[in-house]
Amino acid sequence: MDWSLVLPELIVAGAGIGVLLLDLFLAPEKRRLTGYASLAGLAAAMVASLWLAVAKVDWSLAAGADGSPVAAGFTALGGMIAVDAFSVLLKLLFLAIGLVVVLLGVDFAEKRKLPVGEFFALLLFAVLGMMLMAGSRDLILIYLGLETTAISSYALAGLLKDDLKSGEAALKYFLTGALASALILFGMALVFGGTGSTNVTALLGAGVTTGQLGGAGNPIALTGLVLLVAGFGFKLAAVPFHFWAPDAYEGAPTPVTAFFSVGPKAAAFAVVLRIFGPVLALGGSAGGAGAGGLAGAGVLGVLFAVLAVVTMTVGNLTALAQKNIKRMLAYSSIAHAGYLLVGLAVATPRGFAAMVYYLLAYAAMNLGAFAVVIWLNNRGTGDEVSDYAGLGRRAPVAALAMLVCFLSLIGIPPMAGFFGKFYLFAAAVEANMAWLAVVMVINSAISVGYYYGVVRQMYLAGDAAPAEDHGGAETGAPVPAEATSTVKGTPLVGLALGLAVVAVFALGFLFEPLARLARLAAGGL
Amino acid sequence: MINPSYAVILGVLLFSVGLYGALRSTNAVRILMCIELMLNAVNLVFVAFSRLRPEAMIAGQVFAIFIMAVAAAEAAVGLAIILQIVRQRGVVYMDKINLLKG
Amino acid sequence: MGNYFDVLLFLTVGVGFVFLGLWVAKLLRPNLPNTGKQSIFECGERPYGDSRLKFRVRYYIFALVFVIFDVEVIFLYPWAVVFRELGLPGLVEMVVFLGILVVGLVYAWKKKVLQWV
Repeated sequence: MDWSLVLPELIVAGAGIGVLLLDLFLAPEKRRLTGYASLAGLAAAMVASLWLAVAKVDWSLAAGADGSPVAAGFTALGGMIAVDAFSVLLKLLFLAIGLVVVLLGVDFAEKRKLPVGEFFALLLFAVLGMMLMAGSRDLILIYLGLETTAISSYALAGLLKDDLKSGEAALKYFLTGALASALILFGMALVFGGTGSTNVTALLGAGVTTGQLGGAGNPIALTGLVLLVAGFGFKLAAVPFHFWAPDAYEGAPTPVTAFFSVGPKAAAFAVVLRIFGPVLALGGSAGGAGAGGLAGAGVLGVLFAVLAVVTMTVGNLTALAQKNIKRMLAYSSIAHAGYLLVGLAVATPRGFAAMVYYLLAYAAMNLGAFAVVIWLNNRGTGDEVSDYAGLGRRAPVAALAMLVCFLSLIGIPPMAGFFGKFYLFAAAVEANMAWLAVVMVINSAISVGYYYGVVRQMYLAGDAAPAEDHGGAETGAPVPAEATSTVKGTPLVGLALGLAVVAVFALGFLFEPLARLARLAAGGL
Repeated sequence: MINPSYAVILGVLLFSVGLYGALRSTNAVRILMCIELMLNAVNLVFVAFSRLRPEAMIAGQVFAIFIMAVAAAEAAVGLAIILQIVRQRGVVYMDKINLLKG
Repeated sequence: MGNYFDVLLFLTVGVGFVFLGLWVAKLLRPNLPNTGKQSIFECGERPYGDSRLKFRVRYYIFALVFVIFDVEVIFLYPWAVVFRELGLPGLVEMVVFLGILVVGLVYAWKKKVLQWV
């Protein structure tokens, strides 16, 4: 067995364990070192991933498989690990997310008295789980990756041990997450029973696409797939299953929230693409919902289309009413999950490629927005939207960065968000689902409402009233006043913010090559 | 020998009982127990399916072993979180744990 | 079907016997309640405190640590069965697995979870 194929995962796992041990034997005042060790580990894993991309991934194969649903790819551990363009690209994304979150977390952890070593070790383990999710075609390994990420995330949400909201966020996240895991497992059991294999490629020959619910074909596997949609709906925070997300996002420590809103969500999308992508594409090319009522993939396609529409609409409309910025960004991230689901509803290689590109763009712009929130929080600004009043004068750079990220989240050119949405529109129109594109446009227009609300506070409203004037004790968790004066610059958060903003522009300017890359990745699914 | 499909049906029923309990209870510990019941039902289904499909015998049993190990880790983290909540507020009822809403 | 009739007969007679005994006893016995009789039987000891007594929090953490290590041993059984076929690579992999568990133990030790104070 060629262990070099899992080198990035091995490095991240080793770094996680190393950080945990390092933290045990370091003096408390030197614990910042664990953060730098985590950065080093993640950077090393990125180098290893790039090496894999150059040395091991068969790009010609991915390119040739543009139309065909499945490419063989490189596999290791008895077919469990898939080293293809898709997995390498997403692993690089996850490692980059981990890197930015570590940068965001170092100062925050010190100031809010988070257990530093545990924070970084759990973060590394979560990233490891995400990498396993993206890089596997086997249900067993997908489940293990999912749980590695999920269990670390539960603990991360509750890291503020004395904070009531943090504990509550962890409990709610845990209970819904565990329920979702059980649903996913039951779905996997039925898929296994229906196909006789734990490998997702077995679904293609299993007659899922010809089967009707309760009819001929493979009703067991199809039922399993529907359960998987429900279970992953929880993990993606798609709308009927989204109720936990705002609570978990608001209560968790802010760098952890930033991580939740992009990391586990992107990994869940990667798994959904792996499991459903080929099946949906097969159903789409075979006529799908055409003859004989709703064929299997037709049912799934309709399911994803409905989820997409409901998710983006409810997410955007609820975001309009939010006063806490973390909560608002939580609903905004629900809405963006809705946009991403459009790619699955479209079910063409172009739709999947658009999803991959949108995941990159979304990670950059959302992390940027959260970086501003953390940067301000470290300086003593509360998390309520009204705390941001007059920010354009008090902190012009932060306000400008926030503005850039929001414009990108709305989808204004030349930022990455515009190209992501444009790609998804194009895929929907191309697949004769223009109505979905229209729903997306309407939703983007609605989203201007709440993003503009913050921008208006920053630039047009008067200076923020002192923190104790508004809200009440139970809203927000403002930093204690004495802490605000002692905080010097937070260069690491600034670095992360700079990286995110640069990425927002760079992903936009490099749309052409990146779209081609995404196309290659999606082609090899 | 008993037909393995009965075991599948039993697993489905147990899963439904667990799901009902998990959705209906307000006691966090009870919800956790119901989720554990669901996981064990899935284990039963996996083992039964691997009996029904001889070509995939090992995969189903391996999956069941992994589920057991992961379920223990999950339960441990979950109980630790519940413990933290109880230390903070002295309740385990979800309808009393409601600082976050809106 | 004949065999199952026997089972049914056994069931009926068995369940009926219990209820018959209880019913007859209820008819015959005198009814003289007092506090001593209604208290919880604790092997002759006088019971004290509430039945829902609180354990120390440390006890739960202890139990959680135990459960984790107890369940992870599950992987040793299938490994032991095919140990000879796996050879040296199998041994190395199991050592790595146990090494990761030992890291967890070291962590618990350093965090003073294992001390019963």
